[in-house]
Amino acid sequence: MPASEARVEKAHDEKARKEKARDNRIAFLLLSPAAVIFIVFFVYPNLEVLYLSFFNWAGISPQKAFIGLQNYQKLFTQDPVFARALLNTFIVAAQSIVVQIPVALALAVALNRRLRGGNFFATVFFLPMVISLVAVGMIWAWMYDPGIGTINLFLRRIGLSSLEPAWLGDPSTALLAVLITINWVYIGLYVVVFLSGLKSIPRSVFDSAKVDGLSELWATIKITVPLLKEIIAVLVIMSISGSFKSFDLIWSMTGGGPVNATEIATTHLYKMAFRYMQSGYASAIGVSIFLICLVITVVQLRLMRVRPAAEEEIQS
Amino acid sequence: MTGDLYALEFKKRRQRLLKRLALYAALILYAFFIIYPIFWVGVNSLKDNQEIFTRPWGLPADPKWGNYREAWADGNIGGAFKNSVIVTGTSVLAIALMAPMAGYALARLRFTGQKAIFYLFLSGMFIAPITGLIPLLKLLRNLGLVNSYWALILPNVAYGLPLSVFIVRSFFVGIPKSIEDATRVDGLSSWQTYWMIMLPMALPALYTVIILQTVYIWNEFLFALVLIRTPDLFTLPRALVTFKGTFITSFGPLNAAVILSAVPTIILYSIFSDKIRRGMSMGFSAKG
Repeated sequence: MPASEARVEKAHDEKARKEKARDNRIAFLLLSPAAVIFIVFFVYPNLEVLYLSFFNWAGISPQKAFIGLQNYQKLFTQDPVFARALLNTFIVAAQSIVVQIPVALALAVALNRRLRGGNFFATVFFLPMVISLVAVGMIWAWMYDPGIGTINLFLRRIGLSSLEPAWLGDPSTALLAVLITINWVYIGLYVVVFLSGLKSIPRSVFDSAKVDGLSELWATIKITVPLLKEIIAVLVIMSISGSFKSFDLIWSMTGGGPVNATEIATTHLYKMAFRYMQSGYASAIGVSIFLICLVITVVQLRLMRVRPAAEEEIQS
Repeated sequence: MTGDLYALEFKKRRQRLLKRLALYAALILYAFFIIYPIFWVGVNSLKDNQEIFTRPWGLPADPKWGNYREAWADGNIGGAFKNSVIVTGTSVLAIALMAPMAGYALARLRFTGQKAIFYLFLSGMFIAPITGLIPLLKLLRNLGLVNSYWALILPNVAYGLPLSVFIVRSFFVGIPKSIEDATRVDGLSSWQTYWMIMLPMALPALYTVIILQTVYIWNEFLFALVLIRTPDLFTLPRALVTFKGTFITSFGPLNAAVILSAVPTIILYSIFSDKIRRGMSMGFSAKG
């Protein structure tokens, strides 16, 4: 390297260092309020849970006994409820992927055509997202009520009263009922995500297949899928991580029952910690969920290419 | 000849129209699927038990507005409403103050440990709130804060910050650097530059943050379930669950309570539907 170039580079480094020194103080001032609250009430609990998971601890008592990895051993080898919860969590995720994504894509493609009332439909489809999941759970528990719920009233009216499932009360139908409600909430969100992706595709792509009817809709979907690969990948990841995070809806609809039919990882954790007072054991469940979320996140960040210096981000 | 062509054209147009109708029918059907359950709860909130059983499909013959009074007063929904306003208001205010500060620092300053702080906040968008809940309860108990508004405000702020910081940060990233250089020439300190120049510019992003977090925190349930013990401090989602357990057979007031809890966010959504849709689809990774 020629000497002059090295000198220029050195001067540049010098300038960067000075800038950094000046920025350090102000950055500290600006960041500390957010960082302190975040570290104390988010980071610290999420680290301590790892420590607690090595103990036999009832949560309220000050005594706890170190038992190494026994909680994990029990969790993954001797806990049929956890196995069931994991299975259900995967069913929720898989269902989101195979039902929500295609339905949302179809609706989004239909709306993306400059359709009269398109914005109205998008607004309506998204509405469940702003209602608390507890309220949603109660709205749907009411729909599924065996005696006076709309669904069974309807079945009775069209002469299918022999069918009349107990829905949330029956282990064989409870999970299905919950999945329908999950779709009711989240499909609108997926529609909006797809719509924002479709906007970036040039109009000319769609002109070859005008969406006038349902058959053309199918043709257009086939054109768009390869163009929306990245969004679909992100939604798949979101469906998986979402199923590991969800709690409110299932808790308010079924509480994980009947007989664990709708148990998921989070409801199992809640019961272990706050009903059966096995906080050490529940911490091990928490760590497991944490690790799963972490793995999913790393995959997702690879997909979204988020970097500290990312310059190409969505404007709000 | 031309008549045939005309007929053909006509047939084509009719076919197109029919196809469009089919498409509309599908969209309307789906919209009905979304609206109907909410509508039905609204209808039943104005009926008494007898009418719910005897005329399940009909609109309320004589609307029982008293159901709302009963839910508000006897069902603790009024008190819960007040608690929700306090908790949501305070938390959102704190987030609105702190998130732009952190977002600006991450977007525009160069400092030691920047990468670490960036990834730390990022992790907050992806980790389920329930994982840290047991230590969080322990911590708040040690601080003597369990069963107070702070037990909800502090965790809500901590868990609301990451998404908020990222929304504001990405806004700052898009502002040309020349503006700050100009203020430096004008002799403003970095601190002044932030408050007088940069923060006012970021108001659109800040509004998005405020609206989004209001919806999220208004609807928050898990913290309220675990960190609050006495009904006089319950927020709405928490009070709804208890209401359902205790008023199991008084369907009218129960439905009224559901409607009361949802009305504020639905109003907010009808005013800011675009902002909410865009913000949530950007940040839904954060919430289950």
